[in-house]
Amino acid sequence: MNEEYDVIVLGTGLTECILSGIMSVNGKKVLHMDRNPYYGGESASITPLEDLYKRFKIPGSPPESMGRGRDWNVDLIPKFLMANGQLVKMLLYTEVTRYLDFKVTEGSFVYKGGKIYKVPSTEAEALASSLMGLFEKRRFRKFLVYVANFDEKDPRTFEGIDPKKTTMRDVYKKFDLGQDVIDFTGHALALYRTDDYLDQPCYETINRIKLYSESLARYGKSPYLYPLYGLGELPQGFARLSAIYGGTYMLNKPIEEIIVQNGKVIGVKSEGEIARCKQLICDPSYVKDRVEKVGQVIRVICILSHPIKNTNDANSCQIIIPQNQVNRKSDIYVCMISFAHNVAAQGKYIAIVSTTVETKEPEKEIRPALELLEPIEQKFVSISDLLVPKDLGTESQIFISRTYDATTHFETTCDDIKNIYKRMTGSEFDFEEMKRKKNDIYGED
Amino acid sequence: MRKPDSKIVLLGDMNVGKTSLLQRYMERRFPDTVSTVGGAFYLKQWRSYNISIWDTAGREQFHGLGSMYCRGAAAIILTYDVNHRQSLVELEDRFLGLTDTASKDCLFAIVGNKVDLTEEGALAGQEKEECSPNMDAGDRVSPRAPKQVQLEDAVALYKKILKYKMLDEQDVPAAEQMCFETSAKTGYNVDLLFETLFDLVVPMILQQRAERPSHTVDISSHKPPKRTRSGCCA
Repeated sequence: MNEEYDVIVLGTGLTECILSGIMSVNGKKVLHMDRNPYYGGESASITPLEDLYKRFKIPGSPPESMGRGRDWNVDLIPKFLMANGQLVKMLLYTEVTRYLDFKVTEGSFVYKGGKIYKVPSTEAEALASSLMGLFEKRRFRKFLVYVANFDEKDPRTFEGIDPKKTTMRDVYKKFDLGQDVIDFTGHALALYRTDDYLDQPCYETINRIKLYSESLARYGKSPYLYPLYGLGELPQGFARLSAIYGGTYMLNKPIEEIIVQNGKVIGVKSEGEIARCKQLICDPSYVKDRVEKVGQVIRVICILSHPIKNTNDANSCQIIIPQNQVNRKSDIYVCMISFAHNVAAQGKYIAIVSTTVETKEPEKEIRPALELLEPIEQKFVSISDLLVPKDLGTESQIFISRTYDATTHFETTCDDIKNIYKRMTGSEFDFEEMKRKKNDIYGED
Repeated sequence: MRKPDSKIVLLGDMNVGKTSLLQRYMERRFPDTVSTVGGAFYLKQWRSYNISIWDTAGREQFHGLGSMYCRGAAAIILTYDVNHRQSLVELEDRFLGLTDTASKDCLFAIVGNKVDLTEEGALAGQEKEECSPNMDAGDRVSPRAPKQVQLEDAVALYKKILKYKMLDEQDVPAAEQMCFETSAKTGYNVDLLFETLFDLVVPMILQQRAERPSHTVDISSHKPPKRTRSGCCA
């Protein structure tokens, strides 16, 4: 404090910590503060369990059946990492992997006609699956081969499709895929939450299906990874990267004021002291007047004492409820993890239901998902605003991250990081920029 | 980088000499000015095991340590400066709570550093003079103050920690074995500190492997499979 920094960062959510790490590795002098005594902000994992009850204003203490409070690390947002996705890439380039351990999620399921079906992870499973008929499977396989061979830079792989013009609807037509296959492909593989993509050019959808397939191929069970001790470990890993490169970290720091002069940020006031800076990064909660609401997300954290039915007793899984199965516009997701990931007491499971809010009764909207989870021991309901910055920060040099959306991966979060990076530095984001600039492991053979 | 088998972390106030201790042991040197930037993670091969040793990055110490730092640690080195009583007090006030995320059977070492600056340390320093030819003559003859923190104070803290952790004195190493007075400058007791911990940590690694084979994946070592034309049926 009472010092000059290149960048001040407010809030220790994943987006802010990754940006802090990148800026520090590239030689910027960074001050990173959070009003909370813990890392993670809205992407934290809350521990002990007593703090979760307090946060959600559940009266009383957790019952004894919940075990030791310290054994719980409950995520506020339900997400997994795509094994071949951008966040994994960021972890690898920064070598933040050395601070973390991951497990492969045991399966992915899709809801259809009131029942859940495993998303096949092998050809054998695919042939046996009743998600689609036998003849459809052959056409679907042909389509997947096309997607696998598709290379944006090699027009010979396009086979008459123009990636920037042909709509996805037309691609499905070309491969003669039926509605069941279309729904499965768009929602369980490309992970779209709505059907808006059908009338968009197909390159994005093809790339999303490729991401899913390549992520699945990495470990073979499912395309998703999850860190032991919860998603809250991720921001801490990147914060440590920043600290090692000189970043200053202060938790439990109330922020009194962001000081702006002539439309440009010049510093931050905290506990009577002023830290000056050239640029500021923060999450929306620090600048309520500079963001606008573009929607809402409902998240319901459910504590169970049993695996979810029909998941082969999986200790972790995702369930996708496609929007047309429940007459909605957006898909409903269930992300389930458990004691096997050191986020719950022995024998306990945490299933988090989430979706974009569409009506005034969001809890009723997600009833089909909650029914899959019964009996539920305890529920924690939150409805969060989707907030985006009102401007790009060009004049103010205040760069505001977006709140976390209802997707169950971090691809949109990484897109936000890349976008902010570009606006701050004027350069296109390059993963190479994340590489550590000097050897900071000693003793390695 | 291969995943370490075990994790040891250093905790303590700024300027007690944590980084100097680590560098003295790992690099056999005592740098003139110490900055933890660039030196926060060490790997030590001890017998056939890889032990990671974590140091706090320079400015993390401004109340910036999170739960991850001690997560799963097998041993924690709580470091104070024998010439500053407050640095011992801080171990209990500020740092003990951070150790909640360590392994259940985590070991604790209480280390009083900078003993070379004390009256009693003068004798200890002499033992190592041959190893430190760079020492100025002036250092040897400058007047030294009496220690502010006695070894008994460290022993008392160790026992307080056992109570905090609800550990039985019978189940853990004796306080006298786990309280050290060191000098990163002269090297006094530094090897003893680290190697005592390494020896104690090895049986914990073996026990852990027997109890709980982990199904974690090492995402940094996994090579993506060669792409096949058929692609995978998703």
